Amino acid sequence: MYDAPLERYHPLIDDWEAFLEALRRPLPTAVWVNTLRASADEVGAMLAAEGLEPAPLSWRPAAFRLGRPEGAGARLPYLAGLYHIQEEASMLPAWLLAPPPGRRVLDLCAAPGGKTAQLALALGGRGTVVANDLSQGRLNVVQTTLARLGLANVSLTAADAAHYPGRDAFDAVLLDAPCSCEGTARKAPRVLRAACREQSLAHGRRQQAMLRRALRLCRPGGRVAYATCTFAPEENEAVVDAALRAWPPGAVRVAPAALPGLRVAPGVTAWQGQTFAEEVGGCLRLWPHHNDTGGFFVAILEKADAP
Amino acid sequence: MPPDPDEVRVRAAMELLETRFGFAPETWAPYRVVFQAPHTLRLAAADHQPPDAPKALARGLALMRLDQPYPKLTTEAAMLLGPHARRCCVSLGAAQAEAYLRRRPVDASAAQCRACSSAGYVLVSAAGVWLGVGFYHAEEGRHRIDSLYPKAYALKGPTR
Repeated sequence: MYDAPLERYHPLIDDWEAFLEALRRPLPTAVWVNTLRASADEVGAMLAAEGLEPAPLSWRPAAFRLGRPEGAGARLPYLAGLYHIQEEASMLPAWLLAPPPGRRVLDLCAAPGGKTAQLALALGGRGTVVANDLSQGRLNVVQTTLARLGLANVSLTAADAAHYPGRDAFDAVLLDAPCSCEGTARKAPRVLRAACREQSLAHGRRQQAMLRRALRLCRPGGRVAYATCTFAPEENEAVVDAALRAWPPGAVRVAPAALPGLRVAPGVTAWQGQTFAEEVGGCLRLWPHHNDTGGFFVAILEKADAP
Repeated sequence: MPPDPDEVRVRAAMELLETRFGFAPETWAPYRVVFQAPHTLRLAAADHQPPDAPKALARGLALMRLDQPYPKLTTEAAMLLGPHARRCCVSLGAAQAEAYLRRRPVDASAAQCRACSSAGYVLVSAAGVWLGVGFYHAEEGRHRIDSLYPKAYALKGPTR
């Protein structure tokens, strides 16, 4: 089932059998704590009392993997906005972007809003997060998430990410780009039915336009997180490489990102005859079999200060 | 210069809430209450700056609608502001909270309702966390909270 659509990635993967085996297992459920409402210890105790068997994540505080996740979204602490359910891999980009309080942040493709909520929480519930999505319907989902978590520092906009107006307006921009979603195959195997190089190339062209805009919207000295949940280099490293080449040397760079406690792989620097800039290797790949997660890709890009 | 009518509506609503729930004026300090046409008040972080363009469809959280005979706090506002309430609030036990979250009426004791001075909206908590809004009324010594928990979030299926 998984072999054929993903076979083209075989050369990139250290243990092909372990990779396929991981894709066949159910995806673990993870949650992060709304620390504006309760401490990690308090929520951990509540989750344990609910029988959800929480185990702290190794790489970030105030987050748990649930041993028995059944009904995690229908428990009193969840309904009271004390925690949010989010796939562990999906926690990465907002965590790496880590905007400190007082910053102005844009989430360009925000729905369903888990990463937006992470960013709003990182700002301590103050300041400004702008959550944008092309779909007004999907923004309703974002709003529901923010309402439950009590995050009052977010405005919602509905615009095409590739044409979002403005320039140098944000300290940090998150672009969790629409993609072929191959990395979510553990919870939605249907995504692999359409997976192919042509689809990824088409996504890649649109992602490049979005990342160009994200970099324009970020102020000098600011940071852009580019993320996808796909394995395809056409949608990952190739997009970052194109963005780097579109700016003068040194104007945009891949920031080194470390995640102690999480096994990550470097970005690939060559793929099917194409060679990428060496610093693209500083991007992060999350393979499902390394940490029992979904598949994910993140690049943290820094814009140089204005001369 | 006449006062801004939207500002007047905002101030009147805040005073209504302060009177009903005993919110201290400082409760609002971290926030800015803004009127969003046609009928909604929203609560945004005080230093929040929505973008000029594209125009924000919404900012912050919904606080209350003004087009009802008796303006009611939203569930999200009740969850956020509940810790600041000094009256018209009720703390439920586990079974009562489950009933509330299933949108069932809750019979409460006189002791649980001692902060409820009159029939009307009350803020509901359980185990130290705030859940939403109920409608309190008492008849012949019986205290009842009608659940106003949103249908969309309400628990369904068998009781645990």
